[in-house]
Amino acid sequence: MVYCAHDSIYSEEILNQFTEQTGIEVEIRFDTEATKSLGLVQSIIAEAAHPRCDVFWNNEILGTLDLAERGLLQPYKSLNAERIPEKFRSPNGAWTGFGARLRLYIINTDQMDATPEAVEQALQGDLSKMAIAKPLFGTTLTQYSLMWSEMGGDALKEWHHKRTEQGWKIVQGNAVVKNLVADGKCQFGWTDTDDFFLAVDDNKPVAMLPIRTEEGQTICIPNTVSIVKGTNQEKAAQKLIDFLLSEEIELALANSRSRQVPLGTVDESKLPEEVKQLQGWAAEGVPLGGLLEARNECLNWLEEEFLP
Amino acid sequence: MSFTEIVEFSLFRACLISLLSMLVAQSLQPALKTERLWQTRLIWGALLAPFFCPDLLVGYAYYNFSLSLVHHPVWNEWFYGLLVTLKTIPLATILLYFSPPSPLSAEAFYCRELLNRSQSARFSKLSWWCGPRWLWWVRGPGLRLLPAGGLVFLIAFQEFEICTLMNTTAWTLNLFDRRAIGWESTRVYQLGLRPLGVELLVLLIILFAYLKLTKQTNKTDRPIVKPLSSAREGLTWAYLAFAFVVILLIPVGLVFRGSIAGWTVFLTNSSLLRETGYACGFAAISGVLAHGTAVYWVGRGQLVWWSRILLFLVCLPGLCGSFLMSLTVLELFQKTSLYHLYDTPLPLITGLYLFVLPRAVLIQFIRRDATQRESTFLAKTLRNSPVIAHRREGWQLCWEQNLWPQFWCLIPVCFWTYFDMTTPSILASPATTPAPYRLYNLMHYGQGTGLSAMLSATIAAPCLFITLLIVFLKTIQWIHLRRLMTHRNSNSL
Repeated sequence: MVYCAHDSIYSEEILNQFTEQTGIEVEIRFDTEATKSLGLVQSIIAEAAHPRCDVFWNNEILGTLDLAERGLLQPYKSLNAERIPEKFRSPNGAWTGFGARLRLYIINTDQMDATPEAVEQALQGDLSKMAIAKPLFGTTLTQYSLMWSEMGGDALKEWHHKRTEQGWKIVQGNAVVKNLVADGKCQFGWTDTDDFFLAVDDNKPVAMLPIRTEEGQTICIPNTVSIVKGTNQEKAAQKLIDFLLSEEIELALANSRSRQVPLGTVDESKLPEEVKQLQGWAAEGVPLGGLLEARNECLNWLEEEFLP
Repeated sequence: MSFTEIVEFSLFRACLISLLSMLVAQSLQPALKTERLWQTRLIWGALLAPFFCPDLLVGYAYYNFSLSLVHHPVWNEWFYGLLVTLKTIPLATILLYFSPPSPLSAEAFYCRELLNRSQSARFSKLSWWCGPRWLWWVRGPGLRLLPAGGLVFLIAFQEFEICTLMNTTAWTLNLFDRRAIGWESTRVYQLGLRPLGVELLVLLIILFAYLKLTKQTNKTDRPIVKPLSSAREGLTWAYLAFAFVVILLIPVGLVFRGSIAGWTVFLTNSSLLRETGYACGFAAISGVLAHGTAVYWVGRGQLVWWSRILLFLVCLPGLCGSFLMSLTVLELFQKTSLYHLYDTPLPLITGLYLFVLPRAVLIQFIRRDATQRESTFLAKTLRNSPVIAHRREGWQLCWEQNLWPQFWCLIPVCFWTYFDMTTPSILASPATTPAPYRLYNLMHYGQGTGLSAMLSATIAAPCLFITLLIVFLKTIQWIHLRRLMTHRNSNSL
């Protein structure tokens, strides 16, 4: 049983490929953009007494860190994990990162220039034409946790309230942000690279700029894969992890519509041009491995803010 | 907004929607019985079509429009309210149409008016007892409106599927967000007690009003319905056309247009057929179980008090809304000794059964009150006749008066289970995820031609299945009828 937070439209094909190659049947439970999805991390926590999931393919890192902290992941050091830089791996093998996304500004080029200066200028004034996803979930939560860690809680709260006063729109998810900007309802917003490229493929007038931290680093969020403690399919789970961490799969993810950035070494000639551009930004990514405490504090505050 | 404020807001909106729905439903009553059969059928068809249009389709169709209102959230809330109202008006109209008559007849009201007009001292002494006019209205016609209005309120108050796609303010959505960020079930239940309290209060009012109505009224008394004036007839047609276009025609048109462009998705999506099969299977099993339970209970005739209470208790989980009910079923299968069954379809079937049971019971109550008992009795008598021809005619009558209408009672029950999103979102096993739920999740990414094509197929599948079933049943009936005729002819020869 695989719990998969990566979008089903991209991941299902890869998992089917695994079944074809190995003959191991895979049952998949997906997590999605929908608010109604209870969240696979929460499911694994709730099922701890009687684990149902064997392998957890998460599309972000903080939830995985949470599970590792609770002791719900079983360490496994795959040989293929050697390809992946250390900052995207757990020291004890509880989880390993692969194929990453970047946080970025999606900009409607019909409405404003796609330059850092234009964005900076826009951030000073009325923000009613800027959209972000509700930071309670997903990669926006990761970004907020990072900001909490860098700026400190009080400064982030002040910053957030200032932006709210400026009138930014907080919507349900990154896909909604992409739709709003692509359709010209908003000028710009925060989203992820996979959502951005969907707008590009639909020939929408959009451009991207990486979101940078105060120290100028980018936010590169890897997929993570791990074995859930208590699995009775350990060998099959290890095979799946080996498979997902292979060069072949990182290339497949890079060439999919979501254009995930390979974290390990791959044959560069097989990468699409857009992904080559992203690779440079991904290399500047800030390490996210130590963010769990900041995430928990930040989430407590966000809960008060959005769900009083 | 705090949770309390959100509950209050949802409460206010549900009250407004149910009030408006009941007002429109009341004014639509005369249109439901016209002298021309084709007109009556057309009106019923136009009325019911929006009611049976899946929320999934409505929410998806207006997703982009809702996004375009991002700078006008108040308008988005109003538009959402309009959609829910248009969905609940048919329900209110049907419920009102089949509600027991008012315990105070029009004659009683007329007599009261006469008493009030009288200047005699004797009557003026009595006037304090007679009470003000509104109190009489509450005891009479108002009491008749309560069960229907209460049920409409519950539907509006518990609405979940359209509001998540349109991102409006609703207690259901807020509670789900809390669960999604990791709140434990006990905390969710604690918070959910407030809206649950509101629902239970409304349920008690419904139960009280219904029991009082069934006790005090003569079912042969039907409310006097005035014929429609031409102006009101025009308004009725205008409303029916408006609801039909907004709830059915526009969504179907949008999805159909996308389907033409995105049909190639079927070439790459092999799991859709399998998942549609799961959805049909779950809908059939849960629907038949709920329908069977309802037929058993309601078919027992006049229920004694403890049977009524037992029936109410069995229906209670579903009446409290599918979110809290599904969460409870999940806890049951996740954390008790039932966890061995956690990965099976049983939790989902249980959840869907509990969700749809109250609706199945309601349909049976309506059917029981609408059935002509004489023909049922005649069919039963004929079936027990020693003459073979009589027995066959008895079966024929039984088919037409009982089995065939029951089939049509089963269809909406299965339809609701097929298109319920909340229960599978919590209880579906990964191996057997139903197609509508999978699509519902994908809808949060926005509209797309491939998604429209998959949605068309998912909606068309049960319709096709039902059509085939009807053809099959009608063929059996036709064969049976031919045998009957052959038998009659051979006897006469």
